[in-house]
Amino acid sequence: MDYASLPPREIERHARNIHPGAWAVEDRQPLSTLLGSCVAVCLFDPQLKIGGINHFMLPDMGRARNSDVDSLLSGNFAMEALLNALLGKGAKKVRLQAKAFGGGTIIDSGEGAPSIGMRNAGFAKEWLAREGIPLVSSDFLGPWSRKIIFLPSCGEAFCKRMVTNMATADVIAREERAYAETLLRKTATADKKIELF
Amino acid sequence: MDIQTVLDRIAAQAAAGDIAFSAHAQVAVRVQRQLDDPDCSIEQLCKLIAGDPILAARTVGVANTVAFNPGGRAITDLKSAVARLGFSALRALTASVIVRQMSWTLPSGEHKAISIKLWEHTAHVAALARVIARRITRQSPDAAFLAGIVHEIGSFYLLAQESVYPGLLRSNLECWRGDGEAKVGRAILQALEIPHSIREAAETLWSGFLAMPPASLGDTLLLADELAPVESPLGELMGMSRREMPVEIEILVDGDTLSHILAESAEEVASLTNALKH
Repeated sequence: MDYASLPPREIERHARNIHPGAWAVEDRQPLSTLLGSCVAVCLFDPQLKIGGINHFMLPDMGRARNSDVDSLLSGNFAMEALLNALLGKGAKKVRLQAKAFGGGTIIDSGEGAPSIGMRNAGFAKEWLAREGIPLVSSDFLGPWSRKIIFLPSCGEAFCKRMVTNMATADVIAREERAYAETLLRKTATADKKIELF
Repeated sequence: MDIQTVLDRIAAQAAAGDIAFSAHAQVAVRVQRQLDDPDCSIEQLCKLIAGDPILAARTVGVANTVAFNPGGRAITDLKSAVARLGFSALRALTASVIVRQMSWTLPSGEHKAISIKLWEHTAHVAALARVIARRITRQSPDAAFLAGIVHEIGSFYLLAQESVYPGLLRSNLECWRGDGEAKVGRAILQALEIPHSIREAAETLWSGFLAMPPASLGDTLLLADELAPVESPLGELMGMSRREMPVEIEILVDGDTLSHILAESAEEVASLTNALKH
């Protein structure tokens, strides 16, 4: 099926949905994800016609020891997992192009709330710049949730800003919170295993 | 009566072609029809346009904007203005008169204020769409301009219905954003015989999926709508407002960036927006 010839709503029906914390690489099947304050980065190799998407956030470690470092390591892991999966399929880093989305504030939880999305978006931009992967298009921040559809065979991406009613916002926020908690648990476990000299 | 039933009724009424244009808009509707006539002459058109002082003034005003007159050579007569604009841009201007008049009979100050803001938003989207088409998506600037002018036609129609269904705008308008707007807008664009390519662009807008980077006429319209500094007041009522939060949208275009292109075109956009607003 030539997915690129279909309207986005139709593509969405055929897409594999990527949940918070996950990533996927495909050469044909469209990929989709629903974002709140998380960020999704799409990477595409135009020569090999293969692409992938991830869905991640930087965990908020509060004032914990090494919190900034742990948080960045978690973001690095999400990006490197996607990158390595692509390289493993034969993609070349120098050819990769990126599109990135998300970092919205769907639940206004008062002071400092926008910075969660901002931190995630800022990390994605910095990581791509550091790795020398051009960010060809992006849509970050604002009060919306976003539906992303990505066609890995041609690198096309569609972004829909969505009105988030309370019920939807709760569902997205709950999923993202559950994901954030798993990140914190992982870090705590890793912390116990590390011996510092 | 619940809001869904009211919106369904409004959509059905529009789909049945039961749309009344005021006497004032009749001139603009006649100009639209004249523009479809392959034997249409500039003289005939000017005669018709002169019958509507607002359309005549807007035609000359827009022809003198930086967007259509980068050389700064001012003109004052209708015939030169029509020749400079061309038929496609003129079609967009006549559509602007039709769209604008839809809410002229609004009952209260509050609704008039919504209508003024909706038109301000429309003017921004139309001016931005023209620049995005020329500099980013390589679509027809005139088609993008027309798409921008008519993109809120359903919302203007909804506003006009406030006199028939008082309290309509205070209702939960979530279902309007769902598919109510598309149903009503589709019917009115059809009734006005708006070209197919423009109606397709409106469908992209209503679907909300923006191709990144944008490519089609629909993407051009949707991007302009997202970038417009004045937001649709109906969008605000439906919770789609930016709520003054920062938003970062960026696109690489042939080695340039969207934000740089927009900064370069700011004067052109401002001149056209102002000419449409007055």
